[in-house]
Amino acid sequence: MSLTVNTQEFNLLRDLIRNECGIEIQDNKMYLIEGRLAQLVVESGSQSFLEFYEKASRNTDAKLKEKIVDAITTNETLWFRDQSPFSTLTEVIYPQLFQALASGKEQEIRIWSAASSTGQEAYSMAMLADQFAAKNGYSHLLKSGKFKIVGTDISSSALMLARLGRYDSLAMSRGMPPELQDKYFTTQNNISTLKEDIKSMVTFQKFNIMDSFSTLGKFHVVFLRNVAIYFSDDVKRELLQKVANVIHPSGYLFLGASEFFRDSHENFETCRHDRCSFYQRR
Amino acid sequence: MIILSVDDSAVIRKVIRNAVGVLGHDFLEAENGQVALQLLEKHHPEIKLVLLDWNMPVMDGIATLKAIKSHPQFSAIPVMMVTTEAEKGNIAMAIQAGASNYLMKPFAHEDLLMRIMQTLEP
Amino acid sequence: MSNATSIDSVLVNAISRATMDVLKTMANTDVQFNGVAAKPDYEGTGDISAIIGITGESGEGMIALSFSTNLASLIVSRLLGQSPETITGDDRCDGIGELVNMISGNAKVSLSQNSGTPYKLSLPTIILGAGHSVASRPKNNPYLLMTFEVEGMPFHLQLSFKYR
Repeated sequence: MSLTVNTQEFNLLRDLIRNECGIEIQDNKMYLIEGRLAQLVVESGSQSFLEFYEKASRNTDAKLKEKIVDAITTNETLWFRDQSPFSTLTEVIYPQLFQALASGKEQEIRIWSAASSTGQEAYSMAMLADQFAAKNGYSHLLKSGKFKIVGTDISSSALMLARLGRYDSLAMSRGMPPELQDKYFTTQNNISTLKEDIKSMVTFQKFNIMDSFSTLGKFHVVFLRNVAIYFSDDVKRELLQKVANVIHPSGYLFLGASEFFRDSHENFETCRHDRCSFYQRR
Repeated sequence: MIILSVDDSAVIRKVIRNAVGVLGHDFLEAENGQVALQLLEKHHPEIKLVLLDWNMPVMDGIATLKAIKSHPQFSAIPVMMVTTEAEKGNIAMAIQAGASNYLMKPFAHEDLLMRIMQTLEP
Repeated sequence: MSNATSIDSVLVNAISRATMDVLKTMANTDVQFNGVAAKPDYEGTGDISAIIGITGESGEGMIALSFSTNLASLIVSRLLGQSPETITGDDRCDGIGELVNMISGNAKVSLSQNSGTPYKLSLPTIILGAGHSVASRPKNNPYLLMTFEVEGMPFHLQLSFKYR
């Protein structure tokens, strides 16, 4: 049984992965395919990566494709990742959004956490919204359900975990300040469960960002953080155009800490707050 | 629903205990295959998944796997190998001996959780 | 051994990659590799050491991982998601033993690929107390001392390997 991948097999699998989720595996990342897929290859009863590819592309086992995507993508799941985008939310963006909601200028506020994985980013936004609302007399707006956070991911198991809203001490140790943990979670036996009123601010949906965005609706804020780095430049450009089309004028886009628009972009204006670069839809 | 972790490392068993807690299931642990079989017998049929290490004293992973898969009562319980044995031949051997799934150490936290969920899914 | 240096570099690369991977993946800790030095003998550095033997048709040797108590507590605390003060001596011993097991298990893959033959790991042994020496097999085989750093704190990995 051959469990090494040859060039032909690598190219076939690379194409499959690109088509499934847009992720571009570079040539020198062959080890990634071998290492992470070897288990799946054997589990599927295949004798080689080629046979495995054939099984996966035949479409008869939808779960198999999903397992491949799960195996290839890794996500560093942190609370309040990189800090400054979240302080920007609290200091710059939430004031505007809640004011618009309070004055009736907006009927609802929608925020999108794309590639939400196990939910930390979306719930981080929710906790901050609750804090801001409480400090500024907007809690009634949250209770009315007009403030909505949508988390999407391609992985069903990640979504299931996100919906659970339960995290063990290891997951909590990655970026959760103790005072927020005390306020928003009930912790027992090393497991922290997010309180219902925060959970209810967020809905999680299965969604592949390679698909059409036509069913998503429009958003006031989009977090597309550390997703596009996996993609080739062409895919990236197309993705950012699709994203631009679902952001309200003057709405905001946040990319990952090491990501940025290379040139000035026709759809977005660059903004800065503290150490954070973000983008406003023209 | 009980998930059983079999590993001679107390730290690994704790990490798995935490993950199982997130999923809301009950947890049992064993430091080798012999203790694992005793627990399986005692708690049958509530143990729904076994996470099994490879290198353990007294009774190692592959022997334990074979014992479970040939047991009149437990053979249908899914077994997931959680191990450093990354040699390709060993992976194949484990799957052929009846392991449902395979997770290599070191594992990312989320990978452990998602694999458990995938293995438990009907 | 004609290609001793190049084979050693295979081993050193495999181990440094494995060390960084293991600590990053399971303890969310970034590790810096600060280099390797040849030593005639084992050096008992560190308050807590975990030693594991590797044997195969193509050779045999040992890998020893050494930490200060503080760093061991820190790393194990991250494995478990607890605060370092709550880490017991047992946790530390077990945790370090499992770290050397995972690092060696991963490095072993490159070794096997390189020599074309499989290797087996022994169960890890934990030694407490600095200044220990090891009467190891293979006898009279030189050591490589690899130095790593976590947030300014060093730890060491020593290995001695003899190819048949």
